[in-house]
Amino acid sequence: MLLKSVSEMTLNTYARNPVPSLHRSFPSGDQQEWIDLQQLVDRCLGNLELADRLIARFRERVAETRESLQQALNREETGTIGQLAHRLKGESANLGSGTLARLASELECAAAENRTQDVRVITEQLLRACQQFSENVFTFRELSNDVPEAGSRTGPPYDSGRPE
Amino acid sequence: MMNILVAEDDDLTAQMVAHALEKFGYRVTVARDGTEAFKLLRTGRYRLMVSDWQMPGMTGLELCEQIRRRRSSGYIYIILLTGYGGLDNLVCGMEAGADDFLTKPFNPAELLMRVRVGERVLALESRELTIFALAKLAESRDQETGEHLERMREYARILAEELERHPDFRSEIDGEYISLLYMTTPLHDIGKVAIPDRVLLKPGRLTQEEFEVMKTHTCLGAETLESVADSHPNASFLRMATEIALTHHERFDGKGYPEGLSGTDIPLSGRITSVADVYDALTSKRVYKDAYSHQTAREILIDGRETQFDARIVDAFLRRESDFLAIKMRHRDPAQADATDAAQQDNEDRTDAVNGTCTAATC
Repeated sequence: MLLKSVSEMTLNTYARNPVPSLHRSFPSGDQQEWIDLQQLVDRCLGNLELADRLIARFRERVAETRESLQQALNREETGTIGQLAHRLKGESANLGSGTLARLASELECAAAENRTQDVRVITEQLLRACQQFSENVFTFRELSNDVPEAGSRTGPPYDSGRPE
Repeated sequence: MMNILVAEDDDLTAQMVAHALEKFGYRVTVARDGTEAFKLLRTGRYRLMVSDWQMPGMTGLELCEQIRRRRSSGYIYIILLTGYGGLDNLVCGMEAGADDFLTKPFNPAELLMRVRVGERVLALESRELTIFALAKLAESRDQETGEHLERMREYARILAEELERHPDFRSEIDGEYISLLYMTTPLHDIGKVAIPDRVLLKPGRLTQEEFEVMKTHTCLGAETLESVADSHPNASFLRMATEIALTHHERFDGKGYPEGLSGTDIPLSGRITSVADVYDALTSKRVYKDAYSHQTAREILIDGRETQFDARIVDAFLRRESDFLAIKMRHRDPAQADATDAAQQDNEDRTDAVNGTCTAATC
């Protein structure tokens, strides 16, 4: 019963309504082309601190993936490119980065079907997109120096149930 | 609070999923690959897992297969969370042993609904196992044999299925009723756990005083179940279990116990269980008697039509005799000798069964 009420409250508060404080700190312009912040914050159930942490980490991941993709392309390792694309597709989709997710998905398909010419073209597109992403996406904190408000929390975001 | 294991090598997704589940009130542990997840599952702390498909070491599919191969004591409900969409992948995941499927990007509300479905499935399993374990516990103190409960619930189910076609019972019996009856019939003698050994395990006829003690198993069982039912008002199976425990020794003519209820004042579940219980007691071997033949048991049930039993239930038994025989054969106790002919049976035992007097194992 308690679980039900907590869940419904949480859903009502965050998932079914816009997150109120987001409007104040919502960045505009290029950032919005690369990451759907509303979608991300909804997925974080309104926790802006978590959303901020995820953006920062994702930016690092995109940079790492870009490097790995470049190396795999140089070595013409289609299998590795497919794996990297698959992983980036999942991460981008969850983070609300539609452009990266779409390109990564196309690349994954091309790699799976071994269309080498397409793999090269799409990989290059994706590399450019990753570069632009890194240049245009910032955390809430970087943009506004605002302290996140709604649903913010401290402490580790997971492992509440790990055996000691 | 339920523990959920999230197996996900992508720490961004892991953080989001874990955060959502924690917000919904679950305790979450994240494993970074399939091997770590499998190790954590072996602690027995997790009955629900959300797993990525593509992970280093052991993939989500391999993890599912390992879990199903291992046949752990409790079922582990697996939700695959993956970027692989499409029917082929869904079929592949389900074949490996996954129960449900979520594609990335995940939606927290959908995740919660899927987890709740998992909880419901697990609760069903827990409920049935707990009921049967309790019943087995009661039975373990008795002289009755290992297959008694299996036969009992099968007999009760067949009777209820047959009665469902009868106009008198159509409004009361439906699929849910049959399912509850099947689940709760094994609890009919749960009160016997409170009967002293000197009475419960006595091999011969009980004295009047001992019989009075033995009769209390109906009330003791019902009181225990009722107290649990009071704290779980939505658990309809506990209500039915209480009815059965209390009334399965009542007789249609009002000469039974503990309350001397008669006719349709006796709940239908109690009347059905009574026929199933007596048939099984008669056709099973006991320390003080051999098993009666089906034919003898049949005659005894017919003799008790409208006195000991509801005539309509005896008629249902007669219409489904072949099914009773099939169950009796399928769940025959290993040590049970073939049923002996009615003519060889002790007349006194037969009279006991019909008149409702008691040995330890027929009460």
